[in-house]
Amino acid sequence: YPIFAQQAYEDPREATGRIVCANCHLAKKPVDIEVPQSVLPDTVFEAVVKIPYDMQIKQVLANGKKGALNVGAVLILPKGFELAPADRIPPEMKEKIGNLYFQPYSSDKKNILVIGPVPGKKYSEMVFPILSPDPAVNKEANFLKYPIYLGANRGRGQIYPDGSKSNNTVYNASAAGTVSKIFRKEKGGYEITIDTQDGRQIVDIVPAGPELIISEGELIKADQPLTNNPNVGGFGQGDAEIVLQDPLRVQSLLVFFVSVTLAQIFLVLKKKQFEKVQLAEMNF
Amino acid sequence: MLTIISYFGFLFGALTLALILFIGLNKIQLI
Repeated sequence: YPIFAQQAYEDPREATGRIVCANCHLAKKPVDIEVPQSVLPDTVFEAVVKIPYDMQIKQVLANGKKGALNVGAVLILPKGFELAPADRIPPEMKEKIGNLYFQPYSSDKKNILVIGPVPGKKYSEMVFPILSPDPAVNKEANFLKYPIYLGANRGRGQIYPDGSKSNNTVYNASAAGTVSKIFRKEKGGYEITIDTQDGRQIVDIVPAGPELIISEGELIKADQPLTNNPNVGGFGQGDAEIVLQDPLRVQSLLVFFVSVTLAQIFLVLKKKQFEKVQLAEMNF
Repeated sequence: MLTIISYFGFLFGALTLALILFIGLNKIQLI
């Protein structure tokens, strides 16, 4: 959940470039982000985040039953960029956004937006409405090329922030020995008793969700997986670049183009004129 | 899309301007 990251980390992007969601969402899956090549200051634009996955698959829920996947994302914008206020979002963009509720990462990090968990079936593709800053007003912003970082996830995590495993991951044997007993609990899940070679009995508890891949009487090694890996989701990172463009620069480029074109035309005309002079054999 | 439109816009504009100048200056026998 984004809330876990918001509580535990001041900045969701580590110095290495890793986004902290990857601490709990261990599997890697692709994500994609689309932003315009450049934006003018104080303009609302959209960033499209795609979290593709097979809509047919189901994941293990906290109670061990199967259910649909949720998605979530964190978008790290350059300083000064922020969520577009509702009254500035055009109606056609509002339609694309749907009922998504974006949230700033924290009160002093309004340039980082988080969302989720939301149903993946409906929001496998999300549209973020973003307002670009105006360097004339906001001294933090400059007319530059900026990176945008995205972290997006589908499915439940494998580890909770306290380090404990969720029921959406693989469980391993804590010791080597023989599996002497597998007790199936009423509400799902298993208690696996392992007799070690030095005569001790160790009980490994597997919650409801993952399926056992061992059977009674089997000889197992330490850390050998007892269950399959039920995880079908995964987390992915992506980045994009955006130019905060000064309208004056675009205008001066157009003026330059016009002047080059005019100069070329007049050079041709001058040559035509000179040819006429040569034809009349008028040598100066 | 905007890039393609402005490319052809510029091209067409420049060619028209060249044509007009050529005909006009030819008429007043400057070239």
